[in-house]
Amino acid sequence: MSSSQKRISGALLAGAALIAGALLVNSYADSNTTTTQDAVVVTAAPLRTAIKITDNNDDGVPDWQESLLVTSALDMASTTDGFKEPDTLTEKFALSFFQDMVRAENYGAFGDTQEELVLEASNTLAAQAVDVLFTTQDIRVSPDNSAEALSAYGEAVARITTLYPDTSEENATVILARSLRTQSSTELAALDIKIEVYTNILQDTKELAVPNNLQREHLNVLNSYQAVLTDIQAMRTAFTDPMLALLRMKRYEDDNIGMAISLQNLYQKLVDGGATWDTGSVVTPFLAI
Amino acid sequence: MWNTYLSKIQSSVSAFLCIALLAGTMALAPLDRHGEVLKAEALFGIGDVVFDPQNAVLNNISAIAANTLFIKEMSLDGIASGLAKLVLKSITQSILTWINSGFQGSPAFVTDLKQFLIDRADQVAGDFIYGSELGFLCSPFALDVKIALATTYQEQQHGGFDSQCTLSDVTDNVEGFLGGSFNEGGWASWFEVTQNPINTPTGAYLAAESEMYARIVDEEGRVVRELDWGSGFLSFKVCGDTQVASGSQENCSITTPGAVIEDALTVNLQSGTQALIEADEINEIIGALFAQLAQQAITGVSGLLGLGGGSQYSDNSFGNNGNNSFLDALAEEDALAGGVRNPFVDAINLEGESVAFQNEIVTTINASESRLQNAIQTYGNCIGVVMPPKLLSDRSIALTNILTSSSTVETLLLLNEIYVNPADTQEQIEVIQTYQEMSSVGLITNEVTLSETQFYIDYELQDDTSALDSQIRSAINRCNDDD
Repeated sequence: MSSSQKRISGALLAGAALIAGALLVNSYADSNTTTTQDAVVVTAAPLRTAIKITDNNDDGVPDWQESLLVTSALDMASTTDGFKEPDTLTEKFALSFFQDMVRAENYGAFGDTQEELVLEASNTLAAQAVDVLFTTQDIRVSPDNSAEALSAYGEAVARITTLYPDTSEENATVILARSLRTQSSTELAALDIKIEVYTNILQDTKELAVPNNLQREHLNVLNSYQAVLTDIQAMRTAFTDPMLALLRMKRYEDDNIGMAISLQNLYQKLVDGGATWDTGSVVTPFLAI
Repeated sequence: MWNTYLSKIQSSVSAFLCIALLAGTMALAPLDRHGEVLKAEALFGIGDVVFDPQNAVLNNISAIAANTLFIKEMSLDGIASGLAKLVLKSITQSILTWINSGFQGSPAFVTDLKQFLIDRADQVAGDFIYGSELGFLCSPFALDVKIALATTYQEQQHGGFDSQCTLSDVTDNVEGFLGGSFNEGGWASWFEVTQNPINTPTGAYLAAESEMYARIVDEEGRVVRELDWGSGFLSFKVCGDTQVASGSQENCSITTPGAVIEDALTVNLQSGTQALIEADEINEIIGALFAQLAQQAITGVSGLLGLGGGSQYSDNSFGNNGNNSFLDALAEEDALAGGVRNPFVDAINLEGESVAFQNEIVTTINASESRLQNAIQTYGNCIGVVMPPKLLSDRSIALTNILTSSSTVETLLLLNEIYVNPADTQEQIEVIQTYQEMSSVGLITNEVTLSETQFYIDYELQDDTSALDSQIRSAINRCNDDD
């Protein structure tokens, strides 16, 4: 054990000793009183709440913005290349927003207020991060809802994920973070395999015949795959279309949680419907989600 | 509510003991070369499962389940900051290129802008002239002044407009009117008319004209405001000479997006930027946009599809309240220059608040118990009231929680010490992981827990102690009546 591990272990054990005392007291309390413990059940997607903007140095500039006050300046050439029609979200937004900005300033009371301008822009951007969802029109439905059919379908969904190995073995966020840290767009090439993997998984899963009773769960899985795929594709464009990457990253966590839940729900319904698989089956890890 | 709270605390204590027992192995947990645990800790449900690291789907789920906070602390904050800087740079560069191209060869938005201003000025003038704005004018010649104003305005704004009547025509009419009505007001009216400019046709015209233009100017220029953002939202390093081959840059200066854009506008619009937009305003608006973006909720498929998990699903979202996306959470934080924050300070402060709440619970229940004891001492068995078991239980829990929080603080202090003075980066990563484990099992007090406790104190505890006090008073009255 390294010295650092010893230090951490020491800290934890010290805490554990104190906690153990607390547990004893708690147990004693329990022995004298009867308390019903509520099960903690989360049945809905996490709600989003307004954030608290902190300003610890009380200078009127929120902390997160101060984090953007760079000590190492961004490099930007003073001369620019020839103009071309904007083809990325970032470029399109830049020109549109600038024109709106100038108009708002000059139209005075007839133009948008700054707050309106910014809110509209933000909402417009948020709308760019919305996917077109797959619907029942996009899938093949089978009338067979027998236990055998459900088992076969569940195994197929799981097996598809194993057909396309992700050889990068790195989380996409780790790749993106390293790329941004080193300012190296070539690092993002490591995302290509993930894009390919998710594209194939999405395509193959989409082509499966879905037992009639599982249409909703199947669509949720497809839409989750699509969302994560689109997020990673956006990460890939971090240097060419950073606004898109930023917007998609804002939903990345939710998309991954959605993927976990949609698979969890799918396999729960399969089990409820009588599907069974051998121990050690390719399905086993999905049953543990 | 309280039982839920109890449940969380108890499960937390148990979980922490498990963590403590695993302390020796935690730092040795199988990490890949990037520090990620290659095992789901079953936060979504059933026991530990080792996933195939090459299964992209399961690996992502594993990362979210086991390492969400790790990713947030070590990666996502840096990603958000890095992407934001890229966005700013890209936006500025795009605008700059567009301006330098002569507004895409056709400065439509500039001409549109001018036409819009002319239209709006016309509207203001029209409203003023034909609306009720001239109510302050003396009625005998209000109509004449309106005509004069309209005529003059049209001539000035649109040039060459053939007026239907002139000021002198109007004046003649008014003079004729006045000349025929002297007897109506006598000298008093005469003095009033001649000494008060507003009461003469010419004076009224001049006053009205002045007022009209004042209003137009006001409408056009009302948005000029003091700027509170100009002091360097984001600096750019602009370099005059860049050697492509070597990458070396010379003649660099630090500036802001607003300044860069304003400079470009100055060059491309010979009239300068005053009529369009100023650097500080650009910086202010771009800054406000990013502030708004940080708050903009963008829902992923989980929220969008209304996905709810099975009964074992545990939320492991970002933020102190567990509900935020990573960028929302970022906005909550005092991000440090390196993009990684110290989570221990906030956690220690929250534990301190928790202890204060728990002490308040104990104090409140003790006070009720004292009142009951006093009554029993005075009236003996006649009182017939006992401490409610629920209050006794709640107090016991609060005392336990005080110990728990104190223990947690001790641990956090130790971890913080390591975090602040790590032997190496790996050690810092490890203490962050430890923190995440503690947080994920609910051992560390968060704002939600605090809110629940506050709610309990303000409502449930208040009701329970009030009910006890009411029982005591009733019992005392009954005992007095018996005597």
